[in-house]
Amino acid sequence: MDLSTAKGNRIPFIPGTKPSVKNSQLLISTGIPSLDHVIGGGLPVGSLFLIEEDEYGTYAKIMLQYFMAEGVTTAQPLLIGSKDVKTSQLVSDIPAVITDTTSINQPSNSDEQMKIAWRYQNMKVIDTSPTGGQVFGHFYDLTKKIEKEVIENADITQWYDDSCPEKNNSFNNATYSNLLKYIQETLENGQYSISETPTKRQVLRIAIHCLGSRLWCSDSEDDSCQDLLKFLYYFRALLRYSYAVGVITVPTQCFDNSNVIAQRIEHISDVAVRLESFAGSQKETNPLFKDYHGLLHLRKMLALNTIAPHNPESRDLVFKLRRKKFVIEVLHLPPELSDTTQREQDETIPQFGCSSLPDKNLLDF
Amino acid sequence: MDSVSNVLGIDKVNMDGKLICIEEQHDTNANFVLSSIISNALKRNYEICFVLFHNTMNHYHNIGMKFGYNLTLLREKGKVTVIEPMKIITFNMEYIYEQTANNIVRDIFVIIKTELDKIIQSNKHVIIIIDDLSHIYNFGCNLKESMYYIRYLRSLIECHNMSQLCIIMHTYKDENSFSNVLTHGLKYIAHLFIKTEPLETGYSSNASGNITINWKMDDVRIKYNWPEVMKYIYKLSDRQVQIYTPGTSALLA
Repeated sequence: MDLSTAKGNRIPFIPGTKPSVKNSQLLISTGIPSLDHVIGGGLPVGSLFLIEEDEYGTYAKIMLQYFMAEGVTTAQPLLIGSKDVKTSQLVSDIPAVITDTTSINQPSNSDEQMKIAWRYQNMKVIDTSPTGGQVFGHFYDLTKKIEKEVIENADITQWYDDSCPEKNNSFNNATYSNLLKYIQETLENGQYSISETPTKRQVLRIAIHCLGSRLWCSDSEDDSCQDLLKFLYYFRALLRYSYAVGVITVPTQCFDNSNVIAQRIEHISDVAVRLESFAGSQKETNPLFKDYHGLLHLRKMLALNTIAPHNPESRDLVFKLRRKKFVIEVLHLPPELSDTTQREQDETIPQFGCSSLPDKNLLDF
Repeated sequence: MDSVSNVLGIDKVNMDGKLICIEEQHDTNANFVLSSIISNALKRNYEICFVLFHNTMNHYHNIGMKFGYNLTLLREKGKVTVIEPMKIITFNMEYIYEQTANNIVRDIFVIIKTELDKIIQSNKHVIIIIDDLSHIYNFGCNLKESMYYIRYLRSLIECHNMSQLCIIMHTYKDENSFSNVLTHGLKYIAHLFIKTEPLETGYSSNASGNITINWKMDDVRIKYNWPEVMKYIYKLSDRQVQIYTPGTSALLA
């Protein structure tokens, strides 16, 4: 966000945000505390967050819903756009917030009694606890849906379009310009622009589901790509000069990536992660991944107001979805629990020669 | 930032009338090269004209504050001119819906020219910095139009021999992509070509990427005894950049 042109030089206080001293930014939560931690505290106002969808789009959708849920919980306004799924469906599926935090942040009491592998004790675990007493980011229960009256009271704008795409003079698929216009008008009406001085400053969360899917295509692959990139560039420009944060999920799996479209989208966005779920892949049966649901690839890290992109402690990240929590963890090897025979060889005295040992081995000759 | 300027050699050579091209390959961030060019220009008391397609002015201001210069203050003094195409389109959205795409690109060029003329009149040295020209694709320019655009920009600095041009391009692994082809063309006409590449082996905590410096002026190279192509490894941190030759560690450099 370009604060230099904002009226008044001080970073304003807005509910649901926290200032980041390091790069003079205002952050909002993605709704997943462990993701906030990985990307460097949260999403700066004015930035664009790209989620490259997993094969079936399940987890990307859940992440998007967390982002929306966080908006509802912190009473921030929300704009949802989709062409694939009815937005009313997306809204009604928003998970309910867990107010009782003790059940989640319960420390595992086995820590004290059991100390396995002392050399691992200094290994860093991703800290999901909120920083400094101030609540930033919540946990949500996927089994419970948010109450209807909460949704009715929340400031949610929906954009859903199932019309047949036409061509206009700026985009090959006019849907893009409809959505852009809609976003622009919402930003204007809500006075989210940095040049405005509304009585109550708020941050608009813009969530766009499955952008660039088959329903967004135009006649040729090239035209579709150009449209998507053009839209994203204008969207980025709008976000930069507004109190708004954009989160988009893009099914990059569906693209023929010969024209590096995925990388071009990453270039336009500020933070990019790619989800690789194990569902339907060979990794599902791999014992290494048995505790997890997929891999999280960090494709682009935040480099706003600094020359060095944020450098997380680890880049080998996995995610797992529990009923009450979507967690991102550093990938560790699972403990070896089965009876191992690996130490047996230490007991045998090394012998040279062909068959000097009394106990017969099948391969001995 | 002085060390980066020193490695690049821009602190020694007079770049008037010259073109610097920076190729930022995907997965790298060439902002540190840019900030060393900025701080070098400020040290030489040049005027700066920013054309920002990719980042906002606030971004560069915040970087500048970490390296000891205040761009906002300089902007108020008139030493720094800023042209922000993103801001232009945000506050004039009719550009998108009504006019054809090329007009905005042309308008930006006209703005650059008028701003440059203003500075030239006061007989000062000036550097035009274009952050990520590859975004003109997003305004609907095709390859031919973009090549012409670069030619216009180039003739602009050829006319005023106290001006210099610095263009950043973001390129990808695909040789046929728009920005790669455009960068090839730019590389050919540039006097100094700088390239940042990601590490082939992936991410490392000790290095951020490779930087290649290619001076294309023979007389400068002979004078300072520089090889044609210089390759280094760089490591970025929040407030400093370490550059070292491949095979050595940062401590030895």
